[in-house]
Amino acid sequence: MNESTKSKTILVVEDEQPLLEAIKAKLENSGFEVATARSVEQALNYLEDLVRVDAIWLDHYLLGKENGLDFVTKLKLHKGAWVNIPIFVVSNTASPDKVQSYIQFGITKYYIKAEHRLDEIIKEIKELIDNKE
Amino acid sequence: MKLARKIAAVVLLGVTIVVLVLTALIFEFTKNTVEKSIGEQQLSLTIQTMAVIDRFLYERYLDIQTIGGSATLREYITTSIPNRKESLVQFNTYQQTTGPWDILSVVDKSGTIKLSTLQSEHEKPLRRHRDSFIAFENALKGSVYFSDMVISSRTGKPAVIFAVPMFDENDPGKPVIGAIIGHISWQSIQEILDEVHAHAVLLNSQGVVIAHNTEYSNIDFFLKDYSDSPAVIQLKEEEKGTVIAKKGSAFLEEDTLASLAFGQGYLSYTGSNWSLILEVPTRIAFSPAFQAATKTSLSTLPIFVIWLAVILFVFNHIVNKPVSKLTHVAKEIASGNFSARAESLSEDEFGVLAEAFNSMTNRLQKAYKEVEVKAEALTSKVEDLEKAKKATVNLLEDLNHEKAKDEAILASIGEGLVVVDKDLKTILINRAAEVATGWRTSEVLGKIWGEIVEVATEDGKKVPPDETPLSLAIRGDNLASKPTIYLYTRKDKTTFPVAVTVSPFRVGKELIGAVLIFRDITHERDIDKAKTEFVSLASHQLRTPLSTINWYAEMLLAGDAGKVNDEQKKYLEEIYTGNQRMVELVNALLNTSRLELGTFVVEPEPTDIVLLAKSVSDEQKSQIAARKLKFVPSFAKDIPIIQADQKLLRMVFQNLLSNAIKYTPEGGKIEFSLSWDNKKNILIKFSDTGYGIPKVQQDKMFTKLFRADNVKEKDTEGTGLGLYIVKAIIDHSGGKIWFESEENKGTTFYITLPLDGMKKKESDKALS
Repeated sequence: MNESTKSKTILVVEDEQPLLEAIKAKLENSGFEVATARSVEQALNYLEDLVRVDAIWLDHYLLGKENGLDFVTKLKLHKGAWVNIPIFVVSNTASPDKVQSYIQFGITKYYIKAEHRLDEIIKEIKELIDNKE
Repeated sequence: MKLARKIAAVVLLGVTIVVLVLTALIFEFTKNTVEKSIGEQQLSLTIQTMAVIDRFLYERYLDIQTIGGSATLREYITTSIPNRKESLVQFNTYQQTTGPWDILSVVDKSGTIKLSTLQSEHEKPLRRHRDSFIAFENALKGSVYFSDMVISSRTGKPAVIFAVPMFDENDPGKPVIGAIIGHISWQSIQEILDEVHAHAVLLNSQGVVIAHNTEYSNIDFFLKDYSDSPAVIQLKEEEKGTVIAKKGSAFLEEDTLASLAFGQGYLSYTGSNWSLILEVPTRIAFSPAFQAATKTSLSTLPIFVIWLAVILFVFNHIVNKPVSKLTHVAKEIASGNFSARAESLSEDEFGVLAEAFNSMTNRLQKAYKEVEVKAEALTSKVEDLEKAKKATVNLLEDLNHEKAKDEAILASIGEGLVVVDKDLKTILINRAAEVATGWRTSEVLGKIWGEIVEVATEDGKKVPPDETPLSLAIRGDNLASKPTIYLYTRKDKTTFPVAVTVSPFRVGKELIGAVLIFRDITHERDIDKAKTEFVSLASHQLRTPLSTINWYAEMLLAGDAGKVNDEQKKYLEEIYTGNQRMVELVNALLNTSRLELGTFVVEPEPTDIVLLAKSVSDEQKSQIAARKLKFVPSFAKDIPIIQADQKLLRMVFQNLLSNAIKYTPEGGKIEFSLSWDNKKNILIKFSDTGYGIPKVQQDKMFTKLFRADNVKEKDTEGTGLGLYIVKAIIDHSGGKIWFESEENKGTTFYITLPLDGMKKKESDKALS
């Protein structure tokens, strides 16, 4: 599974606790290092602390006032490595303009949770990150 | 005729003055002339009278010479025996025929009076009489002697003594033998003076009066010395010898005309330098002059009168007549008779005036006519206007009623109404517009609406002035038939969303303006937002736990929590499947609710419907294979690209195809065909050999959550919402959907889609 020597780190930003745990478990099973955050603030702190983040799993609705879009905005405006981190938005929100906004900010892909299997999403993430290299 | 009177007065005055002056001059002139003539006449008379005296004395001079030449008398003296009788006769004859002599004497050379008219003097010596003797002595010298006037001692009367020598003719030496002495009777001189009708004064050479008459004066001037008399002196100096002597300066006691003539003598009688002064009082002398002058001047008066008349006549003709004619014409014209014209007969200023007058009158006449014509036209126009006015008043009344009605209607309209003219200037806004925008009618009237109320698109971008709804309407650009959403800015700078419809309006062919209706959709928006939020939230809230179940079940099944046995797997699969159904149901419900709430979006794009159909078919391949169904696609090649929302159309195909698959038992056949009628519509057909739909339930097929009984029995899955959703989509696309079905035989669904396909619909939620 892993082609590279080092395992990839994914930051998962999701407010729903059971989902967060399910996602984390599945990702770790797939060989990822996982960091979890439930709010934008938390996520940003992690970004600052962690040396390297290879991908971000992002839900739209989060704890706290800010949502996924705010987070993406902050990332994309950041001058530094954060700009280039691939972002995968996985949310149950399907409103076109939200999707549109995310895509315009340059996220990698948008998934509607309820329409995808967990392993399916993870598989794609893996492929996309690996392809990037 | 005041002018005539004025002129007459002036002329009269002038002429009178002139006449008076001239008359005076004539009078003077005539008087002077006549006086001069009178003067000359008097002088002439004076001279004449003097000449008479001189001639008289000359004749006495001759007389004495004649007597002195008498031979008889000579003889008488010389002879010793004188023939006394003869001599006496001769002497008497001489005395009678000559003279008149006061005394006539013959004196011999010894001085003895031999003969005399005075008897007493015979043989008496003459020596006793001094004057006579002087005369005698002078005569003895040999020539005739005459004296000045003397008072004779012999007679005591004034006289002039003549003496002539007598010569002895017999003697060749002609010695003087005696003399004749004659005393002229002064009476003769007096008589001469008395003949004159003037005061005559004879002066001797010393200026002593020697004779005078009593004409005009009774004073006795005789022997008075008038040598110092200024008049006398003046007269003697005057060349012409005539003078006006002031009273008392001559002889008379009043102003006189005095003339003087010097005695010239006559022939050999040399005279004694006497002078004769004739004096006539001027009042008498000159009265002829005065009379003559008066007569002359009076006689010229008629001439002047005639002259005056002539002048007046001429004036009248030259001035008054033309003036009065012109005045008459002017009066005529002033009173409105424009046909009157002035005669222009003369070439002077009156003629010019008359012509100018006429041309003025012509113009006036013309102008008057024009004015009349115009007045008539105006009157008729005014009449028309009155009519129109009446009609307008009636109309206005009607309009007022209508207006009141319209105003009430306008005020009651809940939506904002804005009417502008073709220049985008606001004509009218209703109460709702005032309230919504915060602007009052008075503040916006006449101004461009787009400049007062800022227009922006939904996302806040300012709409340029030539793209505002009103501008588009005026320009006649494509207008949306459905309301367009904009953002209006109120007077207080807050914004609110509006749904705007706009339409130009015309009178006949002419574009008059445009009408804009806007609806404040803030509330709707809020409701929409709320609905959308609700649906969004609902979907999110519903899906989240479903996702959780989904993935945990997935993980369990995948063995992530440990190996599962078959039975566990089976149960887990049931959980998973049930959850999937749930997810589908939630999706369907959310779509339905969106459909109901109208909060879904339609985004048509050019769609290759065949491609779409193929894609959907491919998706379902596995299901088709699993049920061992025969799938017969039939897609026409010439179907054009249509405007369609791919997602929605996909949903339609997915739904109907999956229905066909679901409700056809194993081994059945499904046909999916696409064709078009070469005109307007695309025909889509789904047909199966499935369970069909019971006739009694066919009318309920498109209703929400309906599932026919026969398929419920068969235990197939279905939400009962699919057809409802499909129909809604097709309806919205302007197409039609219907079916034919027979239970246990099969069902065919037909869809027609118009080529212009789906219309864009805005919302912020897509059906999913």
